[in-house]
Amino acid sequence: MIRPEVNPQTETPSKIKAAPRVLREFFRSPGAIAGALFVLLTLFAAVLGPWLAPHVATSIDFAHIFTPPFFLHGGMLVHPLGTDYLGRDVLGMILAGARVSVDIALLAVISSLVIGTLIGLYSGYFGGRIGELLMRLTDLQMAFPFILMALTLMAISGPGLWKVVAVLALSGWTDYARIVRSQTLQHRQMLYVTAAKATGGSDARILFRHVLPNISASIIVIATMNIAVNILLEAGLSFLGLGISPSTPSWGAMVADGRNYVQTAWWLTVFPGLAIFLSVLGFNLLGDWLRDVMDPSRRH
Amino acid sequence: MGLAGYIIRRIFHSLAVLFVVSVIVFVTIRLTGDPAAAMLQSGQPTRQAIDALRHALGLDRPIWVQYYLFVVGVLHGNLGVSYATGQPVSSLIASRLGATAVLAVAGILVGALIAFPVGIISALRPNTAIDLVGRVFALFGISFPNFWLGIMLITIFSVGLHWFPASGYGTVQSLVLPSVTLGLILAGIQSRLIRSSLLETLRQDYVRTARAKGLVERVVIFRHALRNALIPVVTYMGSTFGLLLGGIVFVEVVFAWPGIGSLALTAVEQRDFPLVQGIVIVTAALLVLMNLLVDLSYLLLDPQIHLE
Repeated sequence: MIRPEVNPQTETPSKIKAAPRVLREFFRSPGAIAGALFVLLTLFAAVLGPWLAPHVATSIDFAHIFTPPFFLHGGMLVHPLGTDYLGRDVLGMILAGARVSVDIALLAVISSLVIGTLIGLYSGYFGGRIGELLMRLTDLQMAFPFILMALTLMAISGPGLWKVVAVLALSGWTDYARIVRSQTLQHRQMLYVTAAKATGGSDARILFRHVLPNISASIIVIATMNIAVNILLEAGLSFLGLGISPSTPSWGAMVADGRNYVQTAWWLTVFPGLAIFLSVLGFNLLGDWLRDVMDPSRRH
Repeated sequence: MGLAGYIIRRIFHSLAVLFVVSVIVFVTIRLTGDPAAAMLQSGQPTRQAIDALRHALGLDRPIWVQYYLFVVGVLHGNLGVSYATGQPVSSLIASRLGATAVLAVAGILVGALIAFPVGIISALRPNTAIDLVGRVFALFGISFPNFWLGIMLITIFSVGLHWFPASGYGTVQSLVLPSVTLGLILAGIQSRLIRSSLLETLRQDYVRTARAKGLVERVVIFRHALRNALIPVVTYMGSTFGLLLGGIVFVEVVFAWPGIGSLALTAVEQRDFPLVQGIVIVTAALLVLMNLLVDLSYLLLDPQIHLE
């Protein structure tokens, strides 16, 4: 949600020397460890969720509706986080929802990363009228009521995974474009680019073999934060019933569903909400740490 | 070039942005699907029914004609007629703007009241326990799904403790939970920004100079450092209006707040596209206006700013 203010004008240390330093810093930072833990948990649930909890959306069990979580009176260990109004297992639904959240967030990140980076590289390196025009597009985003457009587009075109991905990608690419452009502008004037040009390197080769690897640190930081934003947006859209199809379990839809039972069965809203919160927190923590590691001037 | 020239140029720039936004909205709504078919989604509409509705809405005309008629209408203060209620879109929107403005102002105030102390204290005592608390608080703020935070606050403070109503509009009590939900999210973003900006400023030479010439720490921080640290905070505010809007939509939905956001969701659910289109364009105009004001306030904050 925060636009990372990345500023790595520093020289990129060689990868071989950097690796142990980064690892050492990682284990010295409780935030990074917590972040990595939440992220791994989310990814673990996303990969294994469908296998651990198959048929969860359809396994209706009227004999066990509104079972409370295991630590409450009447709770059952087979349903550690309780069951909903149809007797569906809450933990199972959360695991299944992780898959949807992570799939959409990652696909959207990849799309906006590719679009944003290409536009940023082009307008930073070549500039010109097209470059200028492309960057004007990023200004537009400031005046764009994105959330309303997203609701509208989802309502007209109907639910669907790829539609959510497209809507999220459209909202995310400008961050990459802006940062990549400003860094490409800086790097374009550096000696290594001049040298590459002098030895006859093509523009494409200079951009993708030389400039891109040198600015990849900032791109990674934005991408990490962008995943967090996408998880939140996807949850928000499915909370409003405008995400992927209602029959697929998703965290936002679970919160919306459980809302009517907040007084009697709080676990229906609290647990899926915590799942969203912890996975977003994980990516934010990791993003914060990456930003600090990759920009030594920010370390205090 | 003088101040007046700069302001005029910025206004023209804003109008250009608004023009492009309106074209994008207009075209995407018509390209991503058939609004008429979407409106008649319930039941099994016949081809004739869809065609009749397309004709009634003017959707069967060439898109540039539709856009032209729309712009002419807007210039006369006419945003079309709501398909669901038959009322003019402009008066529907006008009746909701007040509530959204109240919520936005209250949310921004709550956010600022939390963010400034938290961000400033964090920056003044970096890497201490109190800084850690502040940073964790800010991280939580940006990681909470706002709709869920709202539901949790309702569960605790209205269902559980009966302190504040879960919905309603018009009393101070009913404003508390919605504005706190919005404020907590904004505070997360802002306090991070204030902290990093102030930390950066405190490392500058002029701060060292101010200290070296024996100024009281309070003066150094509030007169010298904070004022400069605020510039990036204010500029960034411009790009958070879209975010604020997103927060408002969810908070309004959760608390049944009678503002633009809940109107937009109802309009979307009823597939009332004339209304949706009107709301998107009016909000875009408001965002453009806010960004213009932010740019102008920038001039006040930083006496050194160059007018290019």
